[in-house]
Amino acid sequence: MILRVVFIPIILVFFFLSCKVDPKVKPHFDENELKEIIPTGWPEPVYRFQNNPINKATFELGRALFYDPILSVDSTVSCESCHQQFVAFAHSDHALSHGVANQLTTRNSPALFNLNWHPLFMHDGGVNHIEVQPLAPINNPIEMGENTVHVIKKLRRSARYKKMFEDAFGKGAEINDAQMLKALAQFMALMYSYNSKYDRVKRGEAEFHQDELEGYQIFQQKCNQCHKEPLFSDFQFRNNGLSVNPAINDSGRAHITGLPSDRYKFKTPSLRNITLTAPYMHDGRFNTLDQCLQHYVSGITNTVNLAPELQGGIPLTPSEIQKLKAFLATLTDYTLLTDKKFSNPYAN
Amino acid sequence: MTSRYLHIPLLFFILLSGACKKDKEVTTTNTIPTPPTANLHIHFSHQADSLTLFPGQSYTLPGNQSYSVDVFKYYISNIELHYTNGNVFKEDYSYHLIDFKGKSEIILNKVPIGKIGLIKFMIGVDSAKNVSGPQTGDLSPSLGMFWSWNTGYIMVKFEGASPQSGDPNKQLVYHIGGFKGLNKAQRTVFITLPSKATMENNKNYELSLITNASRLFYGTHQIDFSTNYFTMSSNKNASDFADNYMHMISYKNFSEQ
Ligand code: HEC
Ligand code: HEC
Repeated sequence: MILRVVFIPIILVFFFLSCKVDPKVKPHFDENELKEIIPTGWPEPVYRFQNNPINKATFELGRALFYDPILSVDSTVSCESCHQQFVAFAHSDHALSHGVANQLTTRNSPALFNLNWHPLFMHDGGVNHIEVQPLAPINNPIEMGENTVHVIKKLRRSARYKKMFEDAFGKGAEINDAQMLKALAQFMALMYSYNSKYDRVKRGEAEFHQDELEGYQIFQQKCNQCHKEPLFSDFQFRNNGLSVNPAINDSGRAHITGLPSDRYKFKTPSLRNITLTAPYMHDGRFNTLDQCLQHYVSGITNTVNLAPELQGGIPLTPSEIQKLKAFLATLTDYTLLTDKKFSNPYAN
Repeated sequence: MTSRYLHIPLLFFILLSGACKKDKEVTTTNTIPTPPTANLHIHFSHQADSLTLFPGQSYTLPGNQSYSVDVFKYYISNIELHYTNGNVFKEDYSYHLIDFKGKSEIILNKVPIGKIGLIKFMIGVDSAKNVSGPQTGDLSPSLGMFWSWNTGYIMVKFEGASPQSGDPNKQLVYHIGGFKGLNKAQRTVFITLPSKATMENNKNYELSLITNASRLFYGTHQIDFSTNYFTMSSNKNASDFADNYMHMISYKNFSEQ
């Protein structure tokens, strides 16, 4: 026993002496803060950082890219233009997101958090991997109007990015699309939201008020089959009875699958941070939570493929609506909104 | 109990031996004889039926439609050489973007010698590579062969023109993709080779194949340019094209270089 205990430190010393130790740059903050998180009781995430090991340099590169308008053709739009931290990385106040040259896209920017659990991305599920997701806004002529080849060219001209890519991917690392995408994905994939009041109640660190508790019970009866705890979505595609906007006529999931049975189905959004992420629904048609709830009570339109649970609407009294709202407010996660490591690195 | 900590010193030994490669000279000499190999160049010549395919020239199809081509690119993947003795050689990370105006050769270095009975490959990209995030090399998503709003590779891309096109500008635009379900557009192709396709040690060979662009438009499905001049998604039309292009590649010649 004693022998072995002595043996280990000796080996350690030998190990450090025998190789020249690379003078690695000291991280600015505790590197342990950057890690995969799976809160107790949550399902297994879809994305596990396979081939994209978490480290500070890659994360910081992703952050620099996320906030840099270099990704857009006229250097006016960054990812942050449509995904802002103070509203859980949704787009404050804009029903249909603005892109380059002020053109409007036809869809509302979703909030970004707990993305590792999404099997598919976008309202229609058209994107199948978090690491290829950024190609969509970058290559879309309306959103950022840029193409990846040109973006990579611009990045290669920048000494700052040359250094950041080397820090992340090793000395002499080439700046290429796959690495840019992995860095962006790593930054976004670490945006966790699991510190709302609801989570603290679940962990036994806080208690619901009476209204919140009753609201929670209503939620469990009427909303949880789709906006499923603990992620507040099961990420399935459904038609929740919105009338079809003839100007856009967005067929949703069917746009991707071509299946008539997918017409007007959209990805069920998470309701975490919902008080902040107005406007609501895939096209941002509702400005307030009241309008959303009223929609379920009296606004359900019987278009093709309407979710069977919603036939005839969800009856809710005005006092139930108040309680439901009180509960939904407990889903706001101030930790995510104020976490410095996700803030704009160019702002001081 | 005692064995619990045993792995720690072991781990350091492993680290130690791996971390400091340059301090140790590898002294063992390789005594295993290298197996005999040859190099095989697979060349694609592009044609419109019997004519050589050039950009901007007009070619006539059976049924009196005509077309010209500006862009014609496609993926060849998962190449396998099946030898008459039953052995199979599979190329590693076998993904190649062929462009009639650019790269039209695939080089397989150091393949086993012997008589090749058939070559098997896929036109398009297998579904696994469509769902695993960004790839590199010929599969880079920046080559204009990747759909970013409906993730997946464009298997075959054809852009050109036709006087019969229903498009006001007389264009033809076919981006054929989709990797799953009934409409998937990747197709596996087998081409049998004649008995002269025999390779000897240390020699270079060329397998010459013909890609007939006209076969996009006839065969299993007749493509009518007046109504079918634009496709940019995975759908029945895309898989009709795939049924046609499955037969666009044929054997031309095999020779030593
Ligand atoms: C002009 C506004 C705009 C810009 C700029 C923008 N996005 Fe988005 N983002 C959107 C919209 C709108 C959607 C939903 C698109 C859809 O469903 O078709 C979206 C969806 C997403 C999603 C999927 C979320 C989900 O729940 O499925 C992610 C992730 C994302 N964006 C990340 C980014 C990144 C990274 C960038 C920068 C490279 C970026 N966005 C730039 C507007 C924008
Ligand atoms: C049958 C499944 C289903 C049920 C039940 C359901 N929803 Fe939804 N909900 C959806 C879908 C799908 C969407 C997205 C629709 C879209 O974007 O077009 C949605 C959207 C929302 C939104 C907008 C979210 C955003 O970010 O834009 C809110 C808020 C909402 N639901 C609240 C509720 C509440 C509260 C209940 C219970 C009273 C409820 N939902 C019941 C499926 C459901």
